[in-house]
Amino acid sequence: MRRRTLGALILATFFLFTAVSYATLDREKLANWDNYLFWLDYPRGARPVWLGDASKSVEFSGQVEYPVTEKAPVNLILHGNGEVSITIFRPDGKVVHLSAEINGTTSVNSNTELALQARRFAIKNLGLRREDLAFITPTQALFMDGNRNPLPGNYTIQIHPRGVEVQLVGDTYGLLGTDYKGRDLWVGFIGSTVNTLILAFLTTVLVIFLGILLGIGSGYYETRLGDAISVILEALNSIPYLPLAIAIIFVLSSTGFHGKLEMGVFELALILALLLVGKFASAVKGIVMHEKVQEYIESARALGASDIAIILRHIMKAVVPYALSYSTLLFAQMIAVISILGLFQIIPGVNWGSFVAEAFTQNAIYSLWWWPLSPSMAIVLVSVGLTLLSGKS
Amino acid sequence: MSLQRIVLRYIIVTLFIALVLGYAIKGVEERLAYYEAVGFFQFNPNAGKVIAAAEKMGMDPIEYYVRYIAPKNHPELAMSSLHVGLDYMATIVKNLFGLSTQESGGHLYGFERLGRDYIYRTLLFLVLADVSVVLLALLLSFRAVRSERFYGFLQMAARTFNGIPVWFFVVLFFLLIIYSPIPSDLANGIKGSGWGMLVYFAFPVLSILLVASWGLAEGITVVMKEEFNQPYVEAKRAMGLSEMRVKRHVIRASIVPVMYVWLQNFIEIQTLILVVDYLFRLNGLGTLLASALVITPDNVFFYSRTFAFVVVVLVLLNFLVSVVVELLAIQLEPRGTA
Repeated sequence: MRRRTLGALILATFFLFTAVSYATLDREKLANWDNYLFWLDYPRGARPVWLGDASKSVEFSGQVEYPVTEKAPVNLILHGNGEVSITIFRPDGKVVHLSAEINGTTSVNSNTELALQARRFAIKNLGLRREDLAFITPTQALFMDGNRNPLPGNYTIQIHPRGVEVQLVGDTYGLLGTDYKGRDLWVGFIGSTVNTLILAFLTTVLVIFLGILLGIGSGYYETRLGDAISVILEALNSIPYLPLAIAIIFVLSSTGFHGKLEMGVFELALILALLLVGKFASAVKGIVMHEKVQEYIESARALGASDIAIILRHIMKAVVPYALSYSTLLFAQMIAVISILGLFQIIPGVNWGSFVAEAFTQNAIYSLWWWPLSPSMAIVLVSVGLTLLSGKS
Repeated sequence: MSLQRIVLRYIIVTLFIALVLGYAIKGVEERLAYYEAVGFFQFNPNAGKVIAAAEKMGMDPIEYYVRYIAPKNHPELAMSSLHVGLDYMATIVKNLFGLSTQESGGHLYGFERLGRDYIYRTLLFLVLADVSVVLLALLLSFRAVRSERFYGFLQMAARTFNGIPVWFFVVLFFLLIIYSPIPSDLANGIKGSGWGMLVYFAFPVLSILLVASWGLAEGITVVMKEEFNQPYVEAKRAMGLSEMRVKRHVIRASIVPVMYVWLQNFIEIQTLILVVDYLFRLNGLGTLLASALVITPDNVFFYSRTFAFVVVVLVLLNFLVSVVVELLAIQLEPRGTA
């Protein structure tokens, strides 16, 4: 009992954490996860803030004091409309003036006018060469000395008008940093967690529903139809599910924005359920075959009970408790299956598998270790929680 | 289970795969035909005649081209999906056994050149992983049969690892290799040949071992425990047979059901093999499978022949292993078969 409580506690904490994180997530960022243009202004390969680093990210409007010690901030993002002027008072007494007309979100790195002015300052006032600027961002150039090293000291940054929201981006960003495309990994992690859990839940429900239906159909009715169902279920279990799932999902999906496969969550869950129902349906079939030869079933039949009545009143009493206890294990298994399919990029949308696959594709495992480790930790937590919750068989 | 049932099962699987494959191949060919149609109507001097013929039939000229002209270059378009799929699978089987060297349809192959090397590497990996898994599972199950407490632990472990995908261990091993003095080469894909390349299988095999052993051990334990509870075991003990001899009888009687448990585990392990192969870049069927589906920012490419190659090998392998298990079961069943 203690184990079950612990399992329930782990899962409740995890689901609560996910729900709160999802509720407070910037939906615009999540909706643009695959839109690489959206992330142009964000730092690339930034470390998480909790790793503690020299240059932090700050959000402000009007004026801010920003200390630079070892690293210069990588970008200055502006949200607003109209003419904007940026003034930076450097510790060496030099003053930077940048101005441009902005419309919506832009940054010193991505706005051609601002970037040009920043580069011009670096060349004229700091003596940097054009080739030096190839290796640093225009924003970084504003915080450098003549030797292309960050100039330590306190900087005062003024933005006019005050209504413009500003984000000075250091080389740390958010709770999980950013990937090499500039995407906020926290957004990806929470988005992938929610997508994976929803798909796994839906697939589990469908496997249970279909498994009970097929198990009873093949176990109770020992007809040609029942036998045919059994052979088909065995056939689906006779080769690994991975290649089959890849082909079926590819054939039935459409290609959408940024070359991603697109398919409804329900359709996807149904395909996975049909591919993975075999084992559970066979177990249900075993239970049904064991129950249907019991004396009380014979008695019910002798009293004139129909097949449907026997199934609903008696057989289901044995099947449902098994299905409920199996569902926790099945849910964990579905999470694993979905994440494996996601690894091969066959599951549309971001999920734990595609999140980790991206880390491998960008070779981020060599430097951004927290990236692949975050879904790994989450998956272990969920699996342990579900195991404890399922109790002893 | 009988041999007929196994054959029937694999016929269903083959037909199903052929249907899906044929549908995918026709989709790719149809898309190519549409691209060709655009070029045809721009540059071909006969385009006017085709447009006139299409208008006569009340059809869109491009649709007309795809339906009536494209099948000359893409015969698949005039065939049923099942026919196309079976045709391609048959070609791959012939190529595998050296009966044919036909290699048409380069756009269906992808970037990898299909060869037996992929199969050899996967088979080597599969044998190494499966032998390790079976040995560890047997050790665990023998202990679990003796100790109820250990059996409880085994059940918990089997359930927990059932929900942990194999890439979790791959990630852990990658981090271990990268951030420890272990040579980083082990995470950078297979190199060399012969005995020298065996070292590259160490962490992949360990990844499979940690995920797949627990479930198999639990399955074997359940079978053996059931056998120990049979009345004949009590009878043998009552006859004064030593515990060693009783165990030998039980193990003999358990072999056939354990073989079926192993067969299911063997099929499940193949998914893990494909995943680990892809992540550790072992250049086996997993790498090939991953290369069959290429998603770029602009498009999705599905190389049907590369995919068919992997699936045909897996179907053949599992069919052969299932038949061997069935034949062995008939030979080893101590109670005889009906």
